[in-house]
Amino acid sequence: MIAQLVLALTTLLQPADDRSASTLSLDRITSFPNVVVNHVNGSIGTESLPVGNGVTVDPGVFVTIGQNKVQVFDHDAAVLQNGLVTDGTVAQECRSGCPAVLFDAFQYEWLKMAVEASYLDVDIATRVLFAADAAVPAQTLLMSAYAAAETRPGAVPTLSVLVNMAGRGLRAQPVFLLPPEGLELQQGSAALGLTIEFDSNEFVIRGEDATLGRSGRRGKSLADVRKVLAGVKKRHPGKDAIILVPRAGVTVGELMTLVQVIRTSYPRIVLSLGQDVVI
Amino acid sequence: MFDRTRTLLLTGLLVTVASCKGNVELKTLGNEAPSRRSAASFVHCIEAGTSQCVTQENVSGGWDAFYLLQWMADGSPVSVMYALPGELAAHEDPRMVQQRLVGEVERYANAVRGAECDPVDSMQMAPLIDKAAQLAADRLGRLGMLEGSLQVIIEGLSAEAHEGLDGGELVRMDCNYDPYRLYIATRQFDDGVMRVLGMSTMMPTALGGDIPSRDVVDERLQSRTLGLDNGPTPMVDGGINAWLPFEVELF
Repeated sequence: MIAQLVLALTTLLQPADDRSASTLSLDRITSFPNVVVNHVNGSIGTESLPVGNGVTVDPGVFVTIGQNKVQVFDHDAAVLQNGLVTDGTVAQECRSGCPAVLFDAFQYEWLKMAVEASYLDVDIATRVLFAADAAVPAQTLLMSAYAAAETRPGAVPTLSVLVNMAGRGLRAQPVFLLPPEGLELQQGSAALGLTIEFDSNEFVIRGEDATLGRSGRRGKSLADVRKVLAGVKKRHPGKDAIILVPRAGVTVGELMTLVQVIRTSYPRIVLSLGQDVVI
Repeated sequence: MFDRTRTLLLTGLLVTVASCKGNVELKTLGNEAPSRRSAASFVHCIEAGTSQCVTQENVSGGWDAFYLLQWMADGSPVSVMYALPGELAAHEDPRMVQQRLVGEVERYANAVRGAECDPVDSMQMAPLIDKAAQLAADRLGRLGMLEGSLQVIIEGLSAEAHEGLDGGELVRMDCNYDPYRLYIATRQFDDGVMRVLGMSTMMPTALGGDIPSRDVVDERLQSRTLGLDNGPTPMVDGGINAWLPFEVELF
C-alpha cells in the first residue's frame, strides 16, 4: 500500500507537462482561482458577483456571502436572511461591534488553521478574499471583513473583494479597513482623511480640504463624485487613500461600482462601518 | 468473565508501563473500556512529566494517514493545495511521522498537566476512516481539486489508516482547561498491549468533533501551546497603524 502511495505521490509531484520539475504544489494541477470559481459557482454563482476589474487573485481564505449564508471556505459559518445577519447579537470581544455569529465563526476557523499549522508544516493564511453577491448589503460584507480581521491571531490580514471581469474571470479588489476603534491622527500629520459616506441617493464627500467645507460636499450621482474628487486630487495630488462609508441599504454592487469609479485616482480603498476619523 | 477482567487490568497496566518510561505515579483508572483506560493512562503519563509517552515503535503511520485525510476533508483547502505534496512526502518518512506525534504531545504537555482531562466517549476508528476518506474525496471533487492522482492518494491513505488503526478507537477526553478536548487513538496489538497511536485536540464535526464555545476558542488562541504571536498587532514599517499599512502622507 505504501508503494501505491509513493507511486501516486510521485505522479502528483510530476505533472505531465513537466516531469523534471522539483517544485511541489497541487497548484500546478489546478489553480487557486479555479478552486474559488468552482466553489462560488456551487454556492452563489460567479455571475452574482459585482462586475469590475482588479488584480490577480492570490491564495487566501475565501469567504462567500450570499443571500442566505456566509461560508468560510466551504464551511457554513452564519445564516443570513436577504443578505442580513438574522441574529444581530454583538460579540463583546468584537471591537467594531460585529455580530457574535460572525465573530465566532471566523475565530473558530482561525483556530482550526492554527491547529493544523501546529501539526503540519503549513502557515496560517495572511489574506482573506470576499466573494459577495452584488445584491447583498455592503454592511454584511464589512461586518464579515471586520470579524475576519479582528479574530485572526497576529497580524491583520490583507483583504480583497472579488469582482467578475468580463472575459478575465475573477479579479481581486484590495481594500483596507479603518481600525475598529476608529482613527485618531496626531496634529501636524497633514492627513486629508478624504471620506465618502453614501447611499443610493446621496454621496457626502468630506476631508481636511477647505473646498469641502465643514459638512462636506454633497452629490447625487457618480458623475458628481468624480467631479468633486477631480478638484480634490488637483489640490492634493499625493493623497491616494479614500475612506468609503456605505450607509444601511447600500449593496455590495453599489459599493464596488463606486470603487471602480474612484480607484484610478485613489487606489487605497479604506472601508468603514462608521468608525470615526479624528484629524 | 474473570479472564476478561484480568485481561483488562493487565492491559491497563501494560499500557501505563509501556508508555511511561520515567518514575510515574500510577493513578487508579475506572472500570472503563480498555481504549478509554489506555487514553487516560497516556494522559497521566504526559501529566507525570515524561516526554517519552509516545511509543518508540513506528506504529503511527496509520494515524498520520487518518490525520491527513481529515485535514483534506475539513482543513483549509488553500493549505491542502499548497502543502499536501510536502505533507505526503513527510508522511512517507517514518521518522517524520514519529516526530509529528512526539511534537504534538510535547506541544500540549504543559497544558495537559493541569487540564483535568477525562475520557468521555469513544468511536470505532474504521468507520471514521471511511467517512474521512469519503468526505475528502467529495470535498476536493466539489472544489475541483480531485485531479491527477489525488483520488489514488486518498485511497492509499485510507488503506494505510485502516491497516494501522482498524480495531482501534478514537477516545474523546474532555478537559476543564486548555486544550479542553483531546482525541486519542488507541489500538490493541497482537501482543495484547494497548498502544496510543495518535493524538489531536480537534476533530471535524462530521467526524464526531464539536465546535467549541467562544471562550474556549479565545483561550486556545491565546495559549502558548499553539505558539501564536499574541503580542500587540504588528505594524508595517512606516504604516499609519496595523490596519492601514501605508504612510500617513498618502492618507
